[in-house]
Amino acid sequence: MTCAEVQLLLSEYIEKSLETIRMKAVDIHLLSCASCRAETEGLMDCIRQISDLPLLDPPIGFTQRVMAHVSEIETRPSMWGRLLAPFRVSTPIQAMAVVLIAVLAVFLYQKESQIRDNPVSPAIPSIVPPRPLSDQGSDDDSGSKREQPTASAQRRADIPRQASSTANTVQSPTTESRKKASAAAVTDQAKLKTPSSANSEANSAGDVKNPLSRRGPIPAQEIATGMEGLHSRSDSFGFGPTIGGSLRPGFFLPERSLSPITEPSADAEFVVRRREAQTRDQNSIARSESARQSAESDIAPAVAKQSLASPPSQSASINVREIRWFSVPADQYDQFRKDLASEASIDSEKTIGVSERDFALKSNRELLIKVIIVSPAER
Amino acid sequence: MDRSNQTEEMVADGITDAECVRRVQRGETDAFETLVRRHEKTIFNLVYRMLGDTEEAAEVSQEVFLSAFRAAGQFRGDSNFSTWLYRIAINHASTRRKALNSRQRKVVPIESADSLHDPEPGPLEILEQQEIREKVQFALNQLEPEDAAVILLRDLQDVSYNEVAHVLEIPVGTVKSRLHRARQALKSRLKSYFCAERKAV
Repeated sequence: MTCAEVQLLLSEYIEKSLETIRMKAVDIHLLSCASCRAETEGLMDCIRQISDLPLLDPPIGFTQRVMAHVSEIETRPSMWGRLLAPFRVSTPIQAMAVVLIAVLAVFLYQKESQIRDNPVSPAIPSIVPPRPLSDQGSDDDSGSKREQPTASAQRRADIPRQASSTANTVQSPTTESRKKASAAAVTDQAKLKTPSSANSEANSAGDVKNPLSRRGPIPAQEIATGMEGLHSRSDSFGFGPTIGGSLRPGFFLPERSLSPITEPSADAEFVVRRREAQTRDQNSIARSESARQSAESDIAPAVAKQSLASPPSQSASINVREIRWFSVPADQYDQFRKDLASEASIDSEKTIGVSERDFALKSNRELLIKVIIVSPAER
Repeated sequence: MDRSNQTEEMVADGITDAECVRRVQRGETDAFETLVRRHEKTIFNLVYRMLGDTEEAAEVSQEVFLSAFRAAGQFRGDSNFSTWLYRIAINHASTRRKALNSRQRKVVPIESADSLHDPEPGPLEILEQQEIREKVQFALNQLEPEDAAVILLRDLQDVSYNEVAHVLEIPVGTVKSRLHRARQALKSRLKSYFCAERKAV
């Protein structure tokens, strides 16, 4: 055995963990090799020094301190543990989910009924009914001036007030109920005497001249919204004094025509694009101006007197700015269309059929025209 | 010197370490106190010899036991609890030693502590022993932590080669070669002292 080989085995030799044969071989080598003996002694010294090191006692109270920290760990749960502790108690996650869903359902139910009871929200399509300033005074007047006031007419005289309340839940009539309402309104309308107001006189001239008109004018109250209740009696349609003057009186409809779901079906429909330079107010003013002039000259108004402005409809596509309703005497339809074309560019139109128009012309009823104003920027 | 009983599964109080650990895993915190009492001296001395500072050793030993308590759920019983505890202790002590080395090493007087536990007759002899122990501790602190660990486990704690292999998670052959290398490194550091001592004698 060489010294190098022996030195590799010395640690185990000292510990006597070598095999017997190797132990003997190292013994023999050490007898004859002084340097390996010295190395062995040095290692044995080293091991002895370590093993002779005294074992110290841990500091007094070491165990108690450790256990104090242990109980601290025990009583102080982790951050997550603390956060989840209330949920862990005995409330299964399913129960929590059920409670959560119930709360959500109640919330949504209340929200829904709130919207239904109070459709002021601009999210609901609404058409503010036109109501002239002079209408308040003429309300009873018109009733008293009727030649043959019927029961329904009598009742109708009260409708504006009733509508204020009933319209809170109703936006527009169904087609069916509107037809019924129209029928009732027609008879009443035919018997209606024009009020004293110049504008109103002009507006209702057509009705007086055509007592057989099959259908009444736009049932203003029919499409009233909750907005009405918010305005004063003098401006119950929300148009403000500058516009209200051009409205015709007697735009009332029996309350049975009120329906929450549908809107009136128009005889004609236009999709127009407002020209850039023009604003809605300018248009309105111009129109009411021209309407007043024509009324003063005792000529039937060229176009419908007032649009039934409505805020942008949520149900309509995104680029629809506004939907306006016009009531136009059948014989003024062409003029209306011309005026409309001069004020805005007509994108598309669903015009009235010739036969239907002829019939309307004969019966001198007014045409209901829907004008959808789209944003000029979008195409 | 027989310290091998400290590394065996202890059955004092009629309860083995493994049973104590199972109780701790079931939430019986008191069982952990038994384990601390059984192993505190072993762990404290191992850590103290690796660090050479009683205060540091007390602090790190406490961390060792607290780590063991927190990780008690992970103890599967594949090895002795002591083996598992040694591993935690060596990891903590090595980490602390590296941190201490990066700072100014604090050379601590160990005489007072040693003299209490190793009573030897004659004040001169005591002084001599203290001097040697200081030198040994100094030499230990000069070694790599893993070399110091293998020497301390084998020569101070008298842990078997197999268990050292388990603690350090290396093969037994590697333990032997590492131990030999570590002893030689320690010897060469103590050589000058022993030579001077012999000359004096």
